[in-house]
Amino acid sequence: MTHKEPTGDYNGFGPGWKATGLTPAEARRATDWVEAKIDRRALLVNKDRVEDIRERMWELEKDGEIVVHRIGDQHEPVVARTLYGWEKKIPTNSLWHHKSCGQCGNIPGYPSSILWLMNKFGIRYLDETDQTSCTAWNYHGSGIGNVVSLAAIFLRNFHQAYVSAQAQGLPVGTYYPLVHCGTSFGNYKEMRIYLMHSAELREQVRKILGKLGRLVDGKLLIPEEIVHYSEWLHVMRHRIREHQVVDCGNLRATIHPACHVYKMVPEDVIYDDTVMDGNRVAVSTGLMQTLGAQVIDYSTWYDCCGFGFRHIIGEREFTRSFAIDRKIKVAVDEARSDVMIGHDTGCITTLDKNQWIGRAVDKVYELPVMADCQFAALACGAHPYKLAQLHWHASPFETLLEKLGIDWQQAKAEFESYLKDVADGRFETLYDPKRAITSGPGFVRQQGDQAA
Amino acid sequence: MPIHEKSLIRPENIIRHESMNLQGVDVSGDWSTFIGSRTITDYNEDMQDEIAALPGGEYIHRCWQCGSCTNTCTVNAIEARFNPRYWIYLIRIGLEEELLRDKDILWQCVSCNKCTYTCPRDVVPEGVMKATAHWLELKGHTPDSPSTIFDREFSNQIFATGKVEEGRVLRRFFASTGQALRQPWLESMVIGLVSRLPVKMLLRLGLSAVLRPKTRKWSKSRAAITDYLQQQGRAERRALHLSAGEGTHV
Amino acid sequence: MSESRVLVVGSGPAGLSAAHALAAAGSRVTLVEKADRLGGAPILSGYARLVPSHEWARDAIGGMVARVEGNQRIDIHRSAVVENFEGSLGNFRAKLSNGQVIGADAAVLCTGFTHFDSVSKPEWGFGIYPDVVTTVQVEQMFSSGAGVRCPSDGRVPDRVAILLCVGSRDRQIGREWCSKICCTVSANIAMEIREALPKSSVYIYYMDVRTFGLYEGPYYWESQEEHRVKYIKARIAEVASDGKRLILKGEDTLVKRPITIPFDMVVQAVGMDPNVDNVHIASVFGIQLDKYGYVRKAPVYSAAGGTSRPGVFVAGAATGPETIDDSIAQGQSAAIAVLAAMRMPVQEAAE
Ligand SMILES: Cc1cc2nc3c(=O)[nH]c(=O)nc-3n(C[C@H](O)[C@H](O)[C@H](O)COP(=O)(O)OP(=O)(O)OC[C@H]3O[C@@H](n4cnc5c(N)ncnc54)[C@H](O)[C@@H]3O)c2cc1C
Ligand code: SF4
Ligand code: SF4
Ligand code: SF4
Repeated sequence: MTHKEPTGDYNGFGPGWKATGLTPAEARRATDWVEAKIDRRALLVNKDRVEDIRERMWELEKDGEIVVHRIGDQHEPVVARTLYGWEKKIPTNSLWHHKSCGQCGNIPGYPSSILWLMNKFGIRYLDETDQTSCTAWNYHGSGIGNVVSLAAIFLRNFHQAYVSAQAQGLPVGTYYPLVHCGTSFGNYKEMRIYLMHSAELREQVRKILGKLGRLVDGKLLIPEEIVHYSEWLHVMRHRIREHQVVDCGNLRATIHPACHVYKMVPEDVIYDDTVMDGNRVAVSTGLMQTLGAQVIDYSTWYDCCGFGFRHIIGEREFTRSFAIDRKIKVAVDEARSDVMIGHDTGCITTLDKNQWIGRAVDKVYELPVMADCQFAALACGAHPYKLAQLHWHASPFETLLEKLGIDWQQAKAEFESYLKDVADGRFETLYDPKRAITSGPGFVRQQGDQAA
Repeated sequence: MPIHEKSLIRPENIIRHESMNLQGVDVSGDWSTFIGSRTITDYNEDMQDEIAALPGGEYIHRCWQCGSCTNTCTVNAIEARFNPRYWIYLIRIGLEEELLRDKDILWQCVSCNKCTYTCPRDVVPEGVMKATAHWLELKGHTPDSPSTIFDREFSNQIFATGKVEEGRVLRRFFASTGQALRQPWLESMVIGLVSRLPVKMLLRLGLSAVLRPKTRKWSKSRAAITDYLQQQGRAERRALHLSAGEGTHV
Repeated sequence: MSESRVLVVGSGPAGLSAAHALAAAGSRVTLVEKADRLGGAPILSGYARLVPSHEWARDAIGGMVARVEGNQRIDIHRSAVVENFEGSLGNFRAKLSNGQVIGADAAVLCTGFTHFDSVSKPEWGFGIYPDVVTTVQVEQMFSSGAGVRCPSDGRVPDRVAILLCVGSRDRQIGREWCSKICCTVSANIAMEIREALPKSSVYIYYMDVRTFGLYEGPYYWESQEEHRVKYIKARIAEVASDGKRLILKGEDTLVKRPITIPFDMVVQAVGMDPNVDNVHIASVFGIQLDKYGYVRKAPVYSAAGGTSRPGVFVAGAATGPETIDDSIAQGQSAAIAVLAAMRMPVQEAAE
């Protein structure tokens, strides 16, 4: 046979392409396969500006520069697919809760719903106080973030997640960090990219973490995946459905996908062919559909909520105008939405808290807004006041509860009587508060924890 | 909570209540200020055809936005918002709201026709300016401009009599634009005239002011002109989807 | 000299023209076509009236097909591809997928292009909203006689938007070329829509309008002057829906304002990708592809229509986005190049 191997500089749709040297028959088979499976995401992978940063991470580990906190069997990972069809391991057990400042402060029903669901599934987790804000609010709010400090804080928190299990006499790495906040999630992923690309940044961060005693064998500790709680909910959605007690069938839900969850570092975001044909980010949408609700498309689905960091504090005129005109109004007018579901602190706050002032310009929409986990908890029978804490929300939710067949008046009465108990010092907790302290003053080793 | 970059927001898009109380909460000023969206949500699909139906606007659809007219424009040199190229785009695409923002400066065209001379597509931008000003008036977006009123008084007199008597035109123009008849400049002009013109001429002027002479056998011409103008006016109003009204000048 | 035998692969405008020219010049031609019909994209994809002749594709290209099918000197293999190709100029052997082995002195590749697959740009709504269609679909609406209707409910669209450069000039998806013909095709389609549906309006959203050469008058201007098609300088960012109509979002760049404009139908002017078979074709024929994935042309100043392998020639959209007229011209020019290449050795011997 005299045919020559193609040696031209054809590089497909990106520089990654190399001549394979296949025989014609093999090439034919390969072409057939591609044609049969032609998938837009596979096509997109070839664009030259997309890189799977995890590959660099593995190389750095091989070169002895970093240590990777792996997702192991104890984390019972479920594999999901991201925008370009890459795999992302989502741990479902033995989790370390990386809390969100705004959630705990503003929407207390948000973290409590996550913990409640985990309790329901008997998930092992650690909810401790030894963690700091990611400070990304300042980064976005001021526009003059300090990348070294942001990266150092990222690794500091994740190092704590890594070593935290020692307080219970368990080996390091037992607990895997689960990030509650979308801002932190986006920020950490951004910092991970910078860290992987810049030796200089790694060096500076190494110095800082060295002083804090936050290195592993003198190296930076990098998590194998950065995981958002909404991803956990997504891969758990079928198990959640097994515990569902509230029928959501006649509910028209709209989804607000958070910018810092799915627009920042888009290649790391979960898309699922079974969720709106993979045309929309899968988290939250997949959950709502699994719970039986109708997820309704609306023309500003992709739009931001208007939070804008500096704006919600310094220029709320912008935030509220955008939130109402571009999101709330559209979801109500177009989609006739009963509820809007989000998965990030800032968006839920913005979309919820700004509704009331709409009255000033006769824009009264009254669309309940809550996080996917709050809704999932409600669907599984959680108490709307005690647990989901909807009374902290500014948008009225009573009609929604009625639609779900939940007697809110009775629930409210129960809650009011519970408040009396609380005043008398009798309160319930989701998590043994003693366990929240894992070192320093106040740390007491708990019974049942393994001896070190 | 002030809007830091207020200058970037169009004033008409800021909705503000200096004093407001909502459900017992004081939300005056910044607390309840809203910013309207600047998104364009629709096109006025008739706009280009309407302006093309008015005299001067016929060739508007030829424009390719090269900007030669604006570059050469006498008025644009001192008034940035006077931009024939831009207005032509707005009209062609039907961005009415955007055009209306400039409605009060559009009349400033000095009809120098430099644009007409330079336009590589023979759009006759000067004509488009006229047609647009006319469109704005017919649609009621702008009040009749002084020049339109003057024009009307002037032409109506000619249509009525076949002649023009300046004194009467001026008097009626002042009356319909609400101006005092005794204008200092006019007085000095009249005094100047009286002192310099021969007596015979002055007498004739005075007589014609009182008797309003007509061109001989004018009535036939008048009927024809009036008829034509009415037809024309009706056609224009139809093209602009306005209810049948009077013709332009009559 | 015995009569020459030439293999022509692909029977679009380029292949039909090459085969006809070669047969007319006395060669025996084997025409191998992957599809079950001849005619290439204009026939297989059912184009309507062509630029610039305004003739129906089935008449214009159909005529070329009939001429080739009626030619005794042309041996046609439909539903077949070349699986193996070896030898050298003047002495090639090709094995076809139908089992036949044929000899050829030279080969001309006229394997054309592949339509860009619009699902690769999900933000423009193709595959999500039924009323988002491609220029190919609109061509078919005309050529089938069905008329331009919204696929969702069959209604006549009041307002149609055509988005240019879909799958062309887009670094995001690695297509950095201009597909050359889609501006003109879009202007043509716009005029046809306005003619068929005078009450409907048509808007074209563009970054540049490349109705090159003589197309300036009869397409770019005629569409505006005679047919009142509107051109708006904006690359649409997103196609959404309010549940009733499609909503186009973008920036009207001349007004510097965002637009969210309702439309009944959105037409994507899809570009011309390299033939999806090109990697396979390159491997079978031992030729090189260029950096975009089209067949690499030999330097044109020595001979038009050459590839990186002597004796293998190329014509038409296999080399990059081409018009039909140019593909036909290239087919004939490749035929001349083939004949010249085969005569050359003889001439040299005689000297
Ligand atoms: C929507 C649209 C409208 C257009 N309208 C016009 C117009 O009006 N005027 C104009 O000038 N141009 C138009 N074009 C461009 C026109 O389609 C091309 O110029 C023309 O089709 C190119 O002809 P070709 O013969 O090179 O390739 P093609 O038409 O693509 O033909 C290639 C042929 O090769 C066959 N083939 C492919 N691979 C193999 C293989 N491995 N083995 C065997 N056979 C194979 C194919 O089946 C096909 O029959 C349009 C393009 C598009 C996308
Ligand atoms: S005619 Fe009017 S628009 Fe034209 S150049 Fe002169 S002032 Fe400008
Ligand atoms: S000069 Fe003519 S073509 Fe150019 S922008 Fe002005 S009107 Fe349009
Ligand atoms: S011909 Fe026009 S539509 Fe096609 S790619 Fe080029 S510029 Fe874009």
